[in-house]
Amino acid sequence: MHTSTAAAAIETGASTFANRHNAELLISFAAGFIFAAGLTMSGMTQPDKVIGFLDIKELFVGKFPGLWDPTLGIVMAGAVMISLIGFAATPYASVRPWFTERFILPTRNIVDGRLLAGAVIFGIGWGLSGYCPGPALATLLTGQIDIAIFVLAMLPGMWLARKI
Amino acid sequence: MNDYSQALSGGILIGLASWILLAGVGRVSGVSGITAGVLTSRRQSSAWRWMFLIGLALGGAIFSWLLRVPHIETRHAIILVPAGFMVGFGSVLGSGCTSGHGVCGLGRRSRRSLIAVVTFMGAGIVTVLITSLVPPAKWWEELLFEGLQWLFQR
Repeated sequence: MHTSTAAAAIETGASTFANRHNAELLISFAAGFIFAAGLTMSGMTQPDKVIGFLDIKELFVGKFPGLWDPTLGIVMAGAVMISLIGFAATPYASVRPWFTERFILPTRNIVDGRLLAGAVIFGIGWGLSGYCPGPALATLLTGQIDIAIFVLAMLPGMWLARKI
Repeated sequence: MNDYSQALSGGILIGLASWILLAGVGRVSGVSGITAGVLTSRRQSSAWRWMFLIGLALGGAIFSWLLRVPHIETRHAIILVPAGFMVGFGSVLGSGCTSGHGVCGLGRRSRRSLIAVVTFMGAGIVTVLITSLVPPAKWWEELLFEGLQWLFQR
């Protein structure tokens, strides 16, 4: 899994930093691109699918599961399944990432008011619109005016939360 | 391919993208954190964030065109503006959204993320329950129109 020979070859070269930095940027782009492919393919860029999942009263329309849309749950299950394997299989205590010096992962473990208040506020906005940040940004360049409005409102919100 | 297998393969791609970013750059792929990072840090270290976001936006445009994703305007701007602000503010305040807490946090088996996911799902469910009971905008328009008519007929 770890390209140690390739990394060693690059490290001995004169342009060590430039090569690794470019590779870091390329892999970041690829990750974003594949992320968008997954979101689009699974239907998560369509807000009515998200609302259809959150609308649990549809469960009780006729025979189970009624008109309820389980799509979001299936997408999450697939994504979490892979990320569980990925995080378990990556020995981030003993190795370096492919193209950077070290792993920078969240370390906080306390459940505080900030976390809960943030999750509630995010959840309300999510329920009102059917958009969360990923799908919103993945829809931004499709040229619809309503998503442009949403993103323009979302960015100052993010900025403000970082400043307080 | 039916909707459900498409949802599962899409989810697998999302998980794979998260792992690629983890293994290659050593970072968690939380979209709210990455976007907030671009907005608030001017250092060169933010370059990978820009590339991730460009890939996300560009990929979204290309795949929705290839897959002919229908666009249905579900919400009025009056709702979208406060909703967008709350999504941005809340996800950064709570250190994560569906990707950061949902995909990566649950993948890392973080208790904090599990609590965040349960909380925002709960808030979303309650919000949808309330808004689905509120009559649509057309109903309010008619109500206003009838009210004005009644007022001016007197």
